[in-house]
Amino acid sequence: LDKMPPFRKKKSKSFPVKVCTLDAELEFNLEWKATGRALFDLVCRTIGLRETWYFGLQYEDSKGFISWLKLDKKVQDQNIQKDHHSTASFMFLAKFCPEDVAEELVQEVTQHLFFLQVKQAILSMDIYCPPEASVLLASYAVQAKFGDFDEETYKPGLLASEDLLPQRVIDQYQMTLDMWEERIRVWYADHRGMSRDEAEMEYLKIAQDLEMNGVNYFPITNKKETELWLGVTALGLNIYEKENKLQPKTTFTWAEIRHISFDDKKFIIKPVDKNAPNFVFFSQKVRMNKLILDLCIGNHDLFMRRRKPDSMEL
Amino acid sequence: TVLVNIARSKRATRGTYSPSAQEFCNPRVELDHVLKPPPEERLI
Repeated sequence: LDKMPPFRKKKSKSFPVKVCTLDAELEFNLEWKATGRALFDLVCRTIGLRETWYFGLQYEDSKGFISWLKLDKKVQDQNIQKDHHSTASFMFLAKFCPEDVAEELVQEVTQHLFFLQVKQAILSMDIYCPPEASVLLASYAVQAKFGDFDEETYKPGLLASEDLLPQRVIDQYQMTLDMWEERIRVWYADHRGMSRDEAEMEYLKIAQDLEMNGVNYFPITNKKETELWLGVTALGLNIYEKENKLQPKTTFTWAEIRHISFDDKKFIIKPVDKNAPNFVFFSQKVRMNKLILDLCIGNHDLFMRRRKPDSMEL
Repeated sequence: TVLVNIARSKRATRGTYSPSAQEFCNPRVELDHVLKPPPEERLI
């Protein structure tokens, strides 16, 4: 056995934190008492991001739930699961979406982070994308990554090694990877002269017209125990039938909603129109209702700020 | 302490927000030229 230290070892005043953005990994030592905001500001400063209002820090808590870090609370008080080096890990991700990428996103770094996040969601099929649009999007992703198409240096197979198309699209057709590549290449050659940022912005402009883009889906049941989806978006709340995440069955814009409230697993949407019935639904977990309300407040806040002149200047 | 715990857990399982009231009667303080922090979580 080691000798006992003469005095109790002093508790360290800081702790290690790892933050991953979609294109970088950052490591910090955070003061023991640091708030979520201190960490968030540190990340934004480090990557030079000023359009901060879309983003948040996501983590896994000690019970394995995915949560967003609260900015006004100490990081240490938020039940973060730490690895064996007692490092707390976070993902820096967009929590909210712009209504119009071309109009709202100013900084290249913001556009790039949105591009990476949306591309990942499309390739992992979290966002449905039809085949033709998938090919066009792939061609912009290729332009962004490799620059101009060059007949001389282009080697067939280059694109096949990249993750470019959602698997569902590939499975839908009897086509070889070479055939897909040829289709993408034709579009790619067409984008000559386009910078990385322009290509990524074109990608985002197409992607934002996909029905599922920018929707946070939650599994819910109504009073009749029918399974449905609730979608929280920049513009309000949508209710979807279980089998159709594309077209909402009912939509509540923010201006149409008087109250949103939950008590335990029961959630109520009260319309402004007093003749309209309340929409009552049930979720599986109180935690989910908290997240739904949190996303409502955040999305509505941005919705109002967009409509006030000069309130979103850098 | 039992009472305190019950009260706390009750509050923690409830939440409410009024979008229409925010839009029409709650003009926010404008922080000109100051970066806006992201929306705060207001739940317990």
